[in-house]
Amino acid sequence: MNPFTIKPDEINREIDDFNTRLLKGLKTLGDLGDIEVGISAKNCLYEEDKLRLYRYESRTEKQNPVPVLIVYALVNRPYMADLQEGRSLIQGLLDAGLDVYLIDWGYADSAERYLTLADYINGYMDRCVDFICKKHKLAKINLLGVCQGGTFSLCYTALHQAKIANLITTVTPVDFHTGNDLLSNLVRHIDVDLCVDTLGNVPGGLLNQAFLSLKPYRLMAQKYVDLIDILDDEEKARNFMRMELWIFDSPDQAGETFREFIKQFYQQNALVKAKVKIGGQVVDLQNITIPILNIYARDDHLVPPDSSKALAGCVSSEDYTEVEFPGGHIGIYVSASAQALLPPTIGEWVHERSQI
Amino acid sequence: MNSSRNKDWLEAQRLYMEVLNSFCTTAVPEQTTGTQLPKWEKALEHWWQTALPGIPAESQAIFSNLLQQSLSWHVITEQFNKLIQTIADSDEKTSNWQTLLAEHIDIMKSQLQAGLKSTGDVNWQGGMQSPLESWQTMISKLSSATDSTTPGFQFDNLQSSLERYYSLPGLGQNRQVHEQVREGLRLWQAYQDDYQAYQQLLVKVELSSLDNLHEKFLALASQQQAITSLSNIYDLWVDSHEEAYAEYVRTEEYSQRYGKVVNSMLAFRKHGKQFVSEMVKALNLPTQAHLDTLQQQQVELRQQLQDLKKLQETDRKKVKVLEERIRQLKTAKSPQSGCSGSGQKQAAKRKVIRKTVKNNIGKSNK
Repeated sequence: MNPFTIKPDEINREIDDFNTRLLKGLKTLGDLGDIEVGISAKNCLYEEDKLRLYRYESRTEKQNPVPVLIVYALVNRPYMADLQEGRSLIQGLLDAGLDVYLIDWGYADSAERYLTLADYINGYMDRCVDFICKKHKLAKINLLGVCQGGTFSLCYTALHQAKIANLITTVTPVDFHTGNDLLSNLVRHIDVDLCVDTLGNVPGGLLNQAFLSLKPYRLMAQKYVDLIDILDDEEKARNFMRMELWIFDSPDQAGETFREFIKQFYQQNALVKAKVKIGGQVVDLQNITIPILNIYARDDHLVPPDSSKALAGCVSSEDYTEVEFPGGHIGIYVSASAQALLPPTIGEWVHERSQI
Repeated sequence: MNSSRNKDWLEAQRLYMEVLNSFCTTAVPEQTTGTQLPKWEKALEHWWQTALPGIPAESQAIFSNLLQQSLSWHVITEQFNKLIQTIADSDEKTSNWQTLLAEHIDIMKSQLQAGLKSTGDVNWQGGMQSPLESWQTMISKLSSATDSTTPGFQFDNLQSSLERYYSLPGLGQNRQVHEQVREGLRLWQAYQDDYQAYQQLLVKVELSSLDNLHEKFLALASQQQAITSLSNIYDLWVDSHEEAYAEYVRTEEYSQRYGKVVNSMLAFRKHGKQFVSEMVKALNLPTQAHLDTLQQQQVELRQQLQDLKKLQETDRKKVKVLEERIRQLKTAKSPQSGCSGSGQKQAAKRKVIRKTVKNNIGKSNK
């Protein structure tokens, strides 16, 4: 059977319709105005250099007495977790009765050029944990890491477990050499020393292009053609622009941190081999014995499921839970289905292990 | 972008394009069955060039992406619009469309390969350029010496000139500068070599994508499914390219070629920075290396300060423990050792009367 059954007049109508929708869409885009992100009310309780530690205002009468500190990745801005009404992990966690803190790393500039992983993990993170413990008069808090922030959280817990009650990792890479890890293959032969010695801090735009180049046809082409189909709906257009704003809002990476992270984690895959060194200390995930909730996205092309699932074989925790969510690396946070599932799952898991 | 002036401007642009659209479809009636696309493409390009200065800087990227990809949609669908026309005009025997499809795919593949050979750059036949565009954008962020349109050297012509230049020895007081320029040219040539090799790989991906697409069309036919719109074709094009690309990105060959081209660009960039740095130094101005040293020392000092603070905190706790111990010991030695604190204060106020009872036994018996 000949599958090409489109008639010439149908073709013309389709082209006409496409062009008409494109023109109307340009007008919709122009009328959108400012795009707002980060909807949950929060207060900055601690500042250090570019870092801000925020505490979100509670949405329930009673909260779990043990706070959750969210550690985001360095490579993107954390407002993705609080994008808009109905698409906010933060809101979901607050509604689940958790007391939520978040580290905002800020935008690195030349002042951060020589900061190392030790400065971020043993320095900034540790001081934030100490601050929260002191404020709440607790010896331990809960830690939730997102992507690279999850890797940082694993390293922190391996080195400072006495301060952490429960650990949640989401879309977190652990094994960086799984067969389907496109990003890892892309950076495998890059001379990172040359890169950092030449560029200093690594531009956020450069990393962004690297991420987009993993699925260039969908992310740089088809996405914009599909946009034409939704531009007649202002709210959908606004949702698109929020994601677009976040995708291209990439901070520069502190040079030495970038060097250490790419070399040790992506190129040498040292985390699963217990050979990562942070501030001279070896990070051995076997030292982790506290409860862990490991969440990964089934269709994640940036952190393949196998990369996250490797955590099970690396830790000594007897209370280890693994949860797969439908969606991609970002969809797990912003899709409607994930919003209905992810925060309650985390909330329930934390409440079972902390008193409320 | 919310001001009424901007709204009026956008509305004017929309009306202009509507009129242009209707002009393209009605001006030449015999060309309404598919060949209007080149006119539309040119019209869109023209409109974009005239409208660009009026669009706010923060919105230019999204407008540009939207228009560029709309153009791509047109160009890609035009490729198969021609095929559809050919099939429609030919005999309706079912086997014939397969032959025509295969011939069409072969023509696209040979055009792709011919484009690479003739210009030293890949002529993508107006189709998807995404991986190469992505690379060019990345390069523009890496190097001020290049921009997103740079890699288009007529390399064969340049190479002989460069080889003659390399053979010249550096002489006199400009010897060092001469050698630096030669090294820079050598690094640039190395980058061009690696870039050409990377392009070759992307052509392989493109050829593989076309084979993928061919198979998808055949699979649809075998499942008795029809392609009912140009957008179907576009989506299949994207799927087939994405699958072929993902397959190549997983390979060691891609990883090495990609690494090589990035490293050679970085090496060229580093050389350029060193060149500039020496000129800055000659002007007695601080260089990046000076600033880097200062920053490194500052970070080390901060780290030492943090370590000292931690040590101080530990010592403070030890001192507190020792002070408490001393206090306890002092309290244990005093006579009112059994008293509480308030008892001790009262004891301090009390006048103490001490008597010594003499031993008079035996003396009175005398």
